[in-house]
Amino acid sequence: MHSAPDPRATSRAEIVWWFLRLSGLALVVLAGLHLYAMHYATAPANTDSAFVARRWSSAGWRTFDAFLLLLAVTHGLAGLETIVRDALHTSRARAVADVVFVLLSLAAIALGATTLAAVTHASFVDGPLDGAIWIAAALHSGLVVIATITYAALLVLAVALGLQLFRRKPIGWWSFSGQWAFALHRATGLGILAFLAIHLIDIALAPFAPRVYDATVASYADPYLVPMEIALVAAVLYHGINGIRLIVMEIADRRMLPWRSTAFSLVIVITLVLLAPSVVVLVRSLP
Amino acid sequence: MIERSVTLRIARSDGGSSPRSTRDYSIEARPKMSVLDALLAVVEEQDASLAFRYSCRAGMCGSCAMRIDGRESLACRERLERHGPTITIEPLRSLPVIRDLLVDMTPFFAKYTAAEPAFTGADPSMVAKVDEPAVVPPGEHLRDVVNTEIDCISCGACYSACPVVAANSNYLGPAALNRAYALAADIRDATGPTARRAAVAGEDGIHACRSVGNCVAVCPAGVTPLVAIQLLRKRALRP
Repeated sequence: MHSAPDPRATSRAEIVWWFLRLSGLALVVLAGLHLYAMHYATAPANTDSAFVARRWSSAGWRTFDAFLLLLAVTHGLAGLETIVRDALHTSRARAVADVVFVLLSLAAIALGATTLAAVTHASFVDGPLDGAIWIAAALHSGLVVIATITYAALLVLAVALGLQLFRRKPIGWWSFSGQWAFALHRATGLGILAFLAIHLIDIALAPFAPRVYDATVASYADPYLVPMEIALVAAVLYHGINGIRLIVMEIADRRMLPWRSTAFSLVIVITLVLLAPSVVVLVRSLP
Repeated sequence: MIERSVTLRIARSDGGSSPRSTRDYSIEARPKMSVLDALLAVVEEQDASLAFRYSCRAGMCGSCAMRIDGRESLACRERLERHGPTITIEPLRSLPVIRDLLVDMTPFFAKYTAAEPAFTGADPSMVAKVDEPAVVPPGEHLRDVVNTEIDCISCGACYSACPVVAANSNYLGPAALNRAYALAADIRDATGPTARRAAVAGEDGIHACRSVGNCVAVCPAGVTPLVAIQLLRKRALRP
């Protein structure tokens, strides 16, 4: 059934468990600062190639972004692999998943590292790929597809839940706050990871094709994508704050038990309160 | 109190891969009538082919666990008056259905067994003379640490409500891990942390729990497997 060849050894599951928590705590600080810089101090549509060039002229910010890249990619993919491994029941399939996810992590880190390394050589005025404006159109189309899928999925879920409640049919697990917290943690994690994949590609354009990058960033102001920008900030906030809740619950164990539902409600309230200023910044920046 | 008419919407199937359907049974609900009373009324008055398991009728044996209006519960402890005019009754999740509301508990108890659920005294051979059972004096904190966990009645409600069990059929599940904690924290148990760790700290053991907490929400005995798993991870398996 389950395997533990050496009972004294630290199992792979234990290492991943610790890694997700420690990297998660570090990301609360790193991703929190990044989020503040990109969605509160300025609107995302203003983060053009000149903005990136100014920021990356500082070795401190490049180092900061290198750590953020490393932790966000490994935390995100370790989280995704946790979901995938839950569905894989043989040790061979799980070993294949390990290899696939290590390769994906290496590829993502290599792309990000190449971008950061290229900064010192790039003028941020002309890039070798500046003629490939189709990349901006492709990324915009990709985001529109992701947005459409997200909106449709949310609509279907809302209608399904609404119908169940309207018909007074049982909603089973969904009457428990823990189930919502769990589902939202996974959904927001997957959403952030999908954004990270696109972000790694678009930010790579900044040094190599600044005009294409500027066109891509400008396309984020598309009113159809604005709810996705808001959802992204909400997802990062929720994922981080709920992660803290999970860690606090694990540390406090029995003492935290009566406060489980309250703690989840508090996570939602804090998420919404922290989200509000970014929505104001975003709406004000709209043309 | 006036009797009212209640519809029981019961999941019916012949188990295995046979299709599941639902069938409605209308009964007159008496005051303080339990769901188990209602199921027995259906069998006696309307459909003797309806299959479900029960025994003590007092919430102690755990045999009548099922999903009532979507939530895992003991049919004998669930009053009809807590529900609306139509009550949906389904078998436990993540366990093979034998027939109707009757599930095969074999996977549940196989995992329970894998978690080394038996108490092992200091003299497991019992060859040597045991003069006195181990004594935990009244007022000692030693009992408090397992006070909640030893109340488990192995009904399978937590197993059914756990989304990790639903996704990962290898996961040991809340009840087995709760039992492992109850023994790991018991100073009289001689199994020891190394052997206990071998049983529950593998790929599909304590670190596969995602802290959802549905197990705590549904447990009819007030047991808190989520906390037991957290305690196993934190300290109970440390040598």
